Amino acid sequence: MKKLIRVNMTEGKVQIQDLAQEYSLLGGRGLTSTIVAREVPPLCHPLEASNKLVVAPGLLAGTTCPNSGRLSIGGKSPLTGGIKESNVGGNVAIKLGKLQIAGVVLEGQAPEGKLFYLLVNKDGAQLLPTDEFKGLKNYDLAAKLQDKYGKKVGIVSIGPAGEMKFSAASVAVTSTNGTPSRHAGRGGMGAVMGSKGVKAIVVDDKEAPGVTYNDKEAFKEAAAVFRDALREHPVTKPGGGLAVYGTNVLTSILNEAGGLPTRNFTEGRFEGAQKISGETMHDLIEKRGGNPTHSGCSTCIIQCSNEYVDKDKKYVTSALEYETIWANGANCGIDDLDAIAQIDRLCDDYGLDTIETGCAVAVAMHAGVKTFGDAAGAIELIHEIGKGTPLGRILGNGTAVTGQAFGVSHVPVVKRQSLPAYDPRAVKGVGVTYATTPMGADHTAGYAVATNILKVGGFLDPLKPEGQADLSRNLQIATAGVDAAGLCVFIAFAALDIASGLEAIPKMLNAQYGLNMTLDDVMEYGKQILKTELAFNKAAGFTPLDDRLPEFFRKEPLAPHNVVFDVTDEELDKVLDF
Amino acid sequence: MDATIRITVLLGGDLRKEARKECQEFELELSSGSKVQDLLPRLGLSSERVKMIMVNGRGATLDTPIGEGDRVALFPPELAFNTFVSLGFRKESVEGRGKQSA
Repeated sequence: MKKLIRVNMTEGKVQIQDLAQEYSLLGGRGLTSTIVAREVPPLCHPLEASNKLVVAPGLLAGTTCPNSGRLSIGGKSPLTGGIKESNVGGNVAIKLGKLQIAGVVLEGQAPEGKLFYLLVNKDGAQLLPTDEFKGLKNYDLAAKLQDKYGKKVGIVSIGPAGEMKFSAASVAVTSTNGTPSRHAGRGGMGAVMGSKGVKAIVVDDKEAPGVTYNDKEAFKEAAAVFRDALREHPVTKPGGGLAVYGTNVLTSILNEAGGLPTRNFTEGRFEGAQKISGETMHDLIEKRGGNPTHSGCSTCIIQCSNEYVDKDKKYVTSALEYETIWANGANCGIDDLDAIAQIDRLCDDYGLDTIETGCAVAVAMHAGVKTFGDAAGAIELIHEIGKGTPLGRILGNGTAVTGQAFGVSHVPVVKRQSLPAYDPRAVKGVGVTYATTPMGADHTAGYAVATNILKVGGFLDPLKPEGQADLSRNLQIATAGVDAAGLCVFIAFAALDIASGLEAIPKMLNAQYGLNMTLDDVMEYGKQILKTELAFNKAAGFTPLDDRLPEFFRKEPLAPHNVVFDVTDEELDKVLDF
Repeated sequence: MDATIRITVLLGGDLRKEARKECQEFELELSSGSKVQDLLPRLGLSSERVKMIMVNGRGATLDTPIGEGDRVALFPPELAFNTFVSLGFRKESVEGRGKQSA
């Protein structure tokens, strides 16, 4: 029987419950969104005691299934005001799975000024005071906790940005190399954790009981088929596109397609793209003796991560990723990889979402606070956030707040969350996802980019509005299912191209839990999660009018294709109308 | 002598090294009337190594004609981030409504 750990921060009490029968088949985003929808008042202030922070590994966490180490962190978002599931890799999800823990729920609020951390191990969970850790950045904090509990523990933590309750504050999770370099960035979940008075959750899986299987042999068989599919597909295989170039493989592609948002979404191509491309980064890391191919998440065999080193071969940051490189590179007009790596390290250390932060800095540049391309200026601004200066507090509360504070109308947000690295005018399918997902602008919620870029089998012209709504809907449903299983979104390449790989997913779930699910059932499961999230948002005050992109995407043509976003409002309203 | 056109080529992923080029992006002269496929032997690349093609930022094929000043980008299979379309459950949305060409 899986357990649910409930931590009442108001009373300082930890309660370990058997997971209720009705929750037994909920994992990851399925569990976080269900608990939030049932237990959090939709109209509460996200930083109030009545909000909850739910941390949940996916259904397959702790098994031998490859790439099953994703962790969901949910609550009501201080950034969007709606429900949020922020997804992250690292080494914590599988440890929770092995400890048979379905989730950790932080409730209530610690007394003002008090800070705690939670220790979770085979004996249960313990809440400990942590005044000595106050104000620590994530790297120092992780080092101190690892000194105390060993190098192998997993850590979920917040930096100063979370303690200051900034809406761009992330929740850090330790990578397989022990650094706090994986982040549940989106939606300000770090601020919710900070508002609870929790600095860290330490997860030690020493002598953990491990996962129980209904049919272990069947599971092993299905997991082997799934592994073979990942090893076969050119994008995910060893030596494949993600392993060699990382997610930054996308910079060249999106720049070429005219969809790489440049200088606060004013152009679709960046003249400095090649200087920050995955190809350039790979050669640079290799030349310096860093590690271009790294497993950042436990059980990962795709290895899209990297370990970036500076010119003196010293470690700077891990998984310098496409979204980060874009947000703090092309979007700020910066073409210096070393500067971007430094920004990534600072964001990880202060505990900030690199996308929200980069977009906020770009809006500040648009306002003339710094000039586009000023890398030293951007780094200065990140330090302002970390120090909590008045300017830093504006930026740290995200792109929408920064736009308001500086009187900028060109503000790329949906539901007050900044857009990621694909311009919706040139990649319209992902624009539909940005507009309609209950999460606020989020590319991972329905990654239409793939289908939109080239014709294979079927094809949707990224520059035309037709068919994008249906595409986004189906992707959003499938993604909710993938998030509940705790699988990495990149398994989709192999699962969708190789039929046996796709079929292996319900087979693994069936073998572990004794079910008879089909692929259709997995889709229905995804749809239920979306329905739950949409109902919460409706009760929190969202209407279809919130499912819109900012006006300028419909008015300002984007070079080089000179296109605007032209999927109709009627079509947007139909996307998740089920 | 045949008229020539001057184009810009971008090679993604390993293609730069396979074509033995110093830079990812470079200019090239071709005979006018060339198609994308005529470019491959010039670069020493086989068609199996080219999965995703863009001409002036639009999806293209080996048969797409290229003209003066065009920009041609070639990406290998391991960079072809376009595979979601092959999924059956999206047949309806992709094939039913989205058969328009680039």
